Amino acid sequence: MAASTKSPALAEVSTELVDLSDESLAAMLTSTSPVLSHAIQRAAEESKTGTDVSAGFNNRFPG
Amino acid sequence: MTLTTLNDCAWPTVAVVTEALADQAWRPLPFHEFILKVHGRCNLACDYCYMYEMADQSWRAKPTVMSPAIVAVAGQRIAEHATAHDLRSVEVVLHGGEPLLAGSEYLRRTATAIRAALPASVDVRLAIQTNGVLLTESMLAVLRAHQIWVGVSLDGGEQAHDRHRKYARGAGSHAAVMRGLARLRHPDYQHLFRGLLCTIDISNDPGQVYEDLLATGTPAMDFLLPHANWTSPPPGYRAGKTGTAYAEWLVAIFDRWYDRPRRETGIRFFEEIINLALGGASRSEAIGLSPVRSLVIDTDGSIEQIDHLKSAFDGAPDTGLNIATHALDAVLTHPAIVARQRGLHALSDTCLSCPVHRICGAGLYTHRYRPDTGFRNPSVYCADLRHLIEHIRDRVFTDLRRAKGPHQ
Repeated sequence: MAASTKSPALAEVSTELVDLSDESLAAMLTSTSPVLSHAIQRAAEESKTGTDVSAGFNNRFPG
Repeated sequence: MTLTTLNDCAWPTVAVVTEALADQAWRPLPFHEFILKVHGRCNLACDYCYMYEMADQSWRAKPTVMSPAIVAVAGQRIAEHATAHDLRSVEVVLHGGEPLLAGSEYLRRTATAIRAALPASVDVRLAIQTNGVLLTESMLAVLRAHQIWVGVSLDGGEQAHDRHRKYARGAGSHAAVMRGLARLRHPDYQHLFRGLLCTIDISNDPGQVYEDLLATGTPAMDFLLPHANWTSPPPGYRAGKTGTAYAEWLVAIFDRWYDRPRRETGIRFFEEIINLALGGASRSEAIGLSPVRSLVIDTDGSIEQIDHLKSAFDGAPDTGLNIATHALDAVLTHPAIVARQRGLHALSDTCLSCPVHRICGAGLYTHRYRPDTGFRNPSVYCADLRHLIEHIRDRVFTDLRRAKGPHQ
């Protein structure tokens, strides 16, 4: 699972999560934690695309 | 902070560049976000404004409007930089002051000039950040025609917003902003609307602020900590002391937003912290360790670092360089630019010993300033940031533990 390879802290939360895909985890969370589900999907997308992330200027939208 | 004074200045110094260039694993990252100060004045007089109400007063000596000639050179310099570094996309943010004061015709010509200057191979994304009071039909038509995304500043409902965001004569601006937002939300323009920026005032009820911002239908919002540092403390704090009042204000909104049965809107600050807690990187300079690849070009063509540094000391964002005489590459090895691309190397020992430093990243660079040591300090919001991060991380990991239960 992409998130566990990025975050040792996440694997410490639950080793069972290691066997779940990000998509499965996001789906599980949709009804109970929709914000977190969205965040998992974003993390999965960024992991797949390998996007180099930079810190955007704070005093403007869009981010 | 010009190059000539850096050796006498607190951190970052020229040694930062020497150390960075000696690091085989690091090279300067090209800029890809360019903040063009198309107008140097504002039609509001917000009392917390870093441009006009804080340490730097350089705006008084600078042109009111970026001339078409300087816009043309800015376009050429950005194109030159994009070509040299094979950039696939750039973002150009039309900023100020209040950029809409330049007028719709000026913005039409500027957008056209910028897009024409860049090679066809570069995706040019244009955006504008406005106080919203000049979002007329004719202005929106130009923004739509030139695909310019719109961010608006709004501090909440009428009472919250008008506490600080007033016209010079003292009247509040909330009503005018709401009229602008109503026009922006028309089906013809709604796709341009990117989000609301709200500067925090802890005397405003956080839940009410959130609901009032949400009621505008915004796709996203962000909450900005008021610009402050170790000698100019945040409102409500004494110099040299930190607290958690701002974190508690933000936690109230976080819990309300997070516990809703659906994701009602994006909240940038919170979502970046969640992404960091999950092991990702931040897209905001307010949190995390991601490199900053943004640059400001002021109305007179001067090349500057991020402009909210103006809240720290007079001349803080200066590089001493101008697009008339220097390519943008000349700034890549400026110590302050390098410092903001060095991640952990920019953190103080105090930060490095903190259990949340990889999420926090010492917060917004500007908030770390102390005259004797420069910018290599914890944030003046240190205790707030830690409190907020730990709360968000605990909420996220609690939900992740619960999620695994039925599927073991």
